[in-house]
Amino acid sequence: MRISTTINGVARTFDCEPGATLLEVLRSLGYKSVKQGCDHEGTCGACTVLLDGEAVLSCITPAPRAAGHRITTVEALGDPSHPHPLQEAFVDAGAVQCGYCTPGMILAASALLDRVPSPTRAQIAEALSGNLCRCTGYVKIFDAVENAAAAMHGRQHHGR
Amino acid sequence: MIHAYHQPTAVEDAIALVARGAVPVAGATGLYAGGCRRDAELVDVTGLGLAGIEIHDDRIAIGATTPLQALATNEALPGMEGALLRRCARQVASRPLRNMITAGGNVAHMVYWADLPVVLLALDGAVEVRVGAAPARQVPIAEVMRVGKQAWDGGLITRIVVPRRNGRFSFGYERMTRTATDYSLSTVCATARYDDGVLRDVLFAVGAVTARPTRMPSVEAALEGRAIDDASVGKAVEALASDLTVAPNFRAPADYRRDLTIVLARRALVTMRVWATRGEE
Amino acid sequence: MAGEQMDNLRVVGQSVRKVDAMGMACGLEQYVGDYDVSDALVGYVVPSPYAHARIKKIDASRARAIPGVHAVLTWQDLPRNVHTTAGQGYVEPSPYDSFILDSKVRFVGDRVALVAADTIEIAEQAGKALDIEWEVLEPVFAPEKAMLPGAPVIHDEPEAHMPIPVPYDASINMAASASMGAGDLDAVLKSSHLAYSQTYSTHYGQHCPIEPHICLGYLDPRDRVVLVSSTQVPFHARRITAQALGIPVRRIRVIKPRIGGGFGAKQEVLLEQAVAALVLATRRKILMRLSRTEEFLSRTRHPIKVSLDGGFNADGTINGIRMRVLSNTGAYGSHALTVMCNCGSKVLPLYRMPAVAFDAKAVYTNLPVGGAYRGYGATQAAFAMEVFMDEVAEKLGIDPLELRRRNHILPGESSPVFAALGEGKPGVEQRIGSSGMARCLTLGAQAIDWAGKRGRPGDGVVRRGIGMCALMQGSSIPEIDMASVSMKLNDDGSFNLACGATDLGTGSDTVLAQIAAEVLGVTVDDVVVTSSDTDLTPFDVGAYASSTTYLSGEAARRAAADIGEQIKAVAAAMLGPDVDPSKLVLEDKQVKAPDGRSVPLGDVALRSLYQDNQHQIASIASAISKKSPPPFSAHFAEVLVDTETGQVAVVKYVAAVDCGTAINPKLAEGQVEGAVLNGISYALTEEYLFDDKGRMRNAGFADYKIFSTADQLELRTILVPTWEDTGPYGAKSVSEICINGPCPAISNAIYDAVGVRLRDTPFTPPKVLAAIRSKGR
Repeated sequence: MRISTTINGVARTFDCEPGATLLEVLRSLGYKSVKQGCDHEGTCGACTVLLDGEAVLSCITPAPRAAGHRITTVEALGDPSHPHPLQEAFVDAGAVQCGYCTPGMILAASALLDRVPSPTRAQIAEALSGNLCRCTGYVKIFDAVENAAAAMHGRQHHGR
Repeated sequence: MIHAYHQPTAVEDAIALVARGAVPVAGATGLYAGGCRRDAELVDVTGLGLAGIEIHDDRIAIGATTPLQALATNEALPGMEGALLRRCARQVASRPLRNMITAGGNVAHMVYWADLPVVLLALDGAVEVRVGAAPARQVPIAEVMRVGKQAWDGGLITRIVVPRRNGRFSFGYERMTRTATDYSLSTVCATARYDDGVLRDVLFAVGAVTARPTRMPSVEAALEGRAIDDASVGKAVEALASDLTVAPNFRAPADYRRDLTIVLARRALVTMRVWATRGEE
Repeated sequence: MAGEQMDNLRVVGQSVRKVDAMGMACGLEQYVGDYDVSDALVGYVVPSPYAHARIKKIDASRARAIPGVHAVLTWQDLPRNVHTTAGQGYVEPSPYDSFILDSKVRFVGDRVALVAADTIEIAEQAGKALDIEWEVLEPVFAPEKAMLPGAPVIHDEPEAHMPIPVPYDASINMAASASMGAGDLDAVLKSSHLAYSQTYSTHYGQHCPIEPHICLGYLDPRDRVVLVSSTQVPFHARRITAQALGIPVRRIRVIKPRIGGGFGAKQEVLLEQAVAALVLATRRKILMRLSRTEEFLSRTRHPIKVSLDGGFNADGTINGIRMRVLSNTGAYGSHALTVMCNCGSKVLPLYRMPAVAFDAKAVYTNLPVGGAYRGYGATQAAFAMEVFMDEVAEKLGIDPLELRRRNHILPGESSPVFAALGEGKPGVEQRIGSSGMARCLTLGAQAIDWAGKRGRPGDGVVRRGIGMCALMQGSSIPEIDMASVSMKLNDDGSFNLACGATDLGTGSDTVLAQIAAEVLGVTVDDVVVTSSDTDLTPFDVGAYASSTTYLSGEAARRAAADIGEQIKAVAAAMLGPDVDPSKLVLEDKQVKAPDGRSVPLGDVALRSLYQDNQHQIASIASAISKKSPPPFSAHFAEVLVDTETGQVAVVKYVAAVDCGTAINPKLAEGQVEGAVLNGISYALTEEYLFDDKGRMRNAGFADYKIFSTADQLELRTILVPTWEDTGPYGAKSVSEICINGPCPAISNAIYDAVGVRLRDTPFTPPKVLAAIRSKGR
């Protein structure tokens, strides 16, 4: 099948089998930040991408479903020369250990901050509840999201 | 091998595909587990405009492809029904899964631990189905639980319909999971109308512990027309203990799941009582 | 003391950014699966459906004929080189009882054949097309039964043996045995004011790295096998792969890129030999990635039963303790001896006792294989010891916290266990250098409000309890493990640092850079780290035994000191004929003389590379440790127990930790927090559910439950700095110790809440509820 979609703001067209998952298609297109960690159960969150701004699990999303929608992977948020406040915050808080869950975690946090600029810890917990991490115990991940929210909120306050 | 993936935009086209054997797919969250080796033609029903919630005076109509997350956060959902639907949806799985799992899918997927069917049983809900050229018809959720996918063989679920009933309704909803995003080990839901000191229109359903989500008529009978006090709660729980058939599985011993269900039932009924009798001395 | 020494440090002790964190946050860092695998074949292991069976005949011709199948290997196609998969130094203290493929299978999921195919679907098809004549054998699942006469013999192959001279008897399924003693335990038990005995047990668990095991292999143009592997032990992987295939070490290169967690699961040479075999058979690139189900069946925590007999005085001081250990090592003996020995060596020395005895056995069963898992025997035995101490405290009427204070080992003291109990041979005598144990107990108790909250469960349906435990671990394996680091100076005064040390997310690349930067008076940005490539980096045993900071860090310090001396020599020559290099100081990326003159490092580099007496300023240094100085920790848990459902929730957890100097405090805290949360879910929600044929029913995250953010509790880390003279900048270790705390702290807290003593993990709702009910009767 030929699917036309938008990935990270760029119009893309790809060919895929009808049964392909969005995960395998994104990785074959070069978006290696999207990881696999479970057996197509949607239980680990390493494959998280944003579909029209909401976090979904690409390992169980049919690739054809991307047609006409907006896909966002972490590559869209920033790069080392211009990192997104969430990327900065994760790095500075010590919230990145092995890094395998990090892209999905940051995307889930990004979807949260887009809706809720100053989330409570309970809201952070809910938004990230589909992203497993075995390294950090989540403590510094909570810190990172709070710090990013403060940095982004502050920027808005100062009219930037 | 999935050999075709259709994305129709008209319900009629989707129904025609299902009639010739295509499998409807909404959230797709259960589709790929186990490697998805089955030979199938799929029809994606998320492009049919079936998402969305309509609030009428006498019912809440939930489009079949409405994601559970939309239910969980919809503060406009009215009354006891709305509060119960929100509570149920909010606790299912994890956030990204709630973004994907649909109301219709949570009924159609027919897993024994599904949460929404338990609540729909306790709300006297129905599914609206369209099969072939026939007009849409409503099938009570209890019948769906009984006959499974035969309720819409060759067709589609288009809406979940929850009646809005008049009166002073309250509910109790309890479930237990091992971790916060786990699927339920036992789910209990009770609703009733409080009228002149007694309970009326009692509905009581359990899930995750039986083979399918099911109402428990003997529990309902033990409460119907009675004052809601320790005695009636005790009788209701006895009826549950007597009539509950635990479907064994590897997750926990059947005895434990039975005892757990009884505890959750008592808690649900006490919660319902507190809410029903609020404002009284 | 520690404070003063830290005051003069500029890089060590700072929470600098982990050098790879930004790349990871931007999705740019490469894991094995991110390499170009477009031309790779899928490597697949055909799993055994039986727990114990012989392959009498295996015919792969139908499988090989399937289009898209490039190779099918059975045990007949491979050299029969027995080895161990344990990632340990040569000579490995683990039985040589594994083959790449064997004519016997020993647990459900064991290897039947290897397949290389175009896709995973075709590979699975090939697996189903194997024509196998099985002889199904009686399995044994219970460790107590495995050594009884008449039990099925799991390793009846003649090649199985122990490569070091320690007890091993496969004919009775005994994979390992060890014992030591000092003093007369029987006399102690007879004459003590209180003699108490009790038995405890721990269960199967899996590390659950979010990235399962994965290995990419290919032949380079010089016919060498290159393995890009998610491994904690690249050098052991190279050596053992060579051994298993019968090819020379020089023909193999192992590279570890970023890896998605390990926790000990990847201290194993598990996929490399299989991938290499498929590479050689097909001459193609092979990618083998374990599914999540296969990951659960790869390596696990050894379930261990620990029995304790102790003799105590009325004031709670210990006259002697005997620890007996029965470890279930599963179908293969990798890490069987060493995990079992650590039950004693990492737990018994914590307390002062004139008499001590240790007696341990590890047995084979037809179940998944125990391997290296963070804590490594200390987790299992600390559970036993710390519940035991609480039980004794209650019998003697002493506060459990006070009982620990009266008994824990102090700086300057030793334990006979250190010298007597190594890993299969005598250990290494040591005296405690640094210890912050006392302060950990005090600060932790304050943070949980021990005095205020304990003994006040309330009388509702939900009861509250507070529990604690005291812990130690080790820092490296003394006189056995070795780390080396090399450095060279670049044109701009920056350095390349090459180390074999393996960063699995722990941040060792960063920590080693910090240590080198501290010595050389530069910033972490000036030290470019390359790690874990057997062609390019010098040897390191790898990431295990909590050794990277203490041992590899020391090697880094030495390499930096050496290169610093070379720099000063060149700088002295540049500054003038009478300048004494030993008076020069490295600071601010310059070499500074006492008279105020200075030379930038970049100028030293340019001079030495291009202009005068040209040579590459470079160093290489190795380190072995003479001791394994323990980190110490005190943990405190506040739990709520639902007395009607049996569900236990941890609401607050405090971990006070003495790791010596925290080279990077945020990274150290991260190790504490990750270990604690892992320990908590291991205590409460993780378990292996087997059917009666030995098959794991719940091999996926849907049914094997680890915590998400939605399970988050209040977790407080208190770093208690001390200064360990033998460690680089005073450091010890931190990565393992804290996983040992939750099981005992939670069990002790449950006792405070509801008066039931849980001596078998995990504390699942059915188990807790049953215990509450039987107490009520």
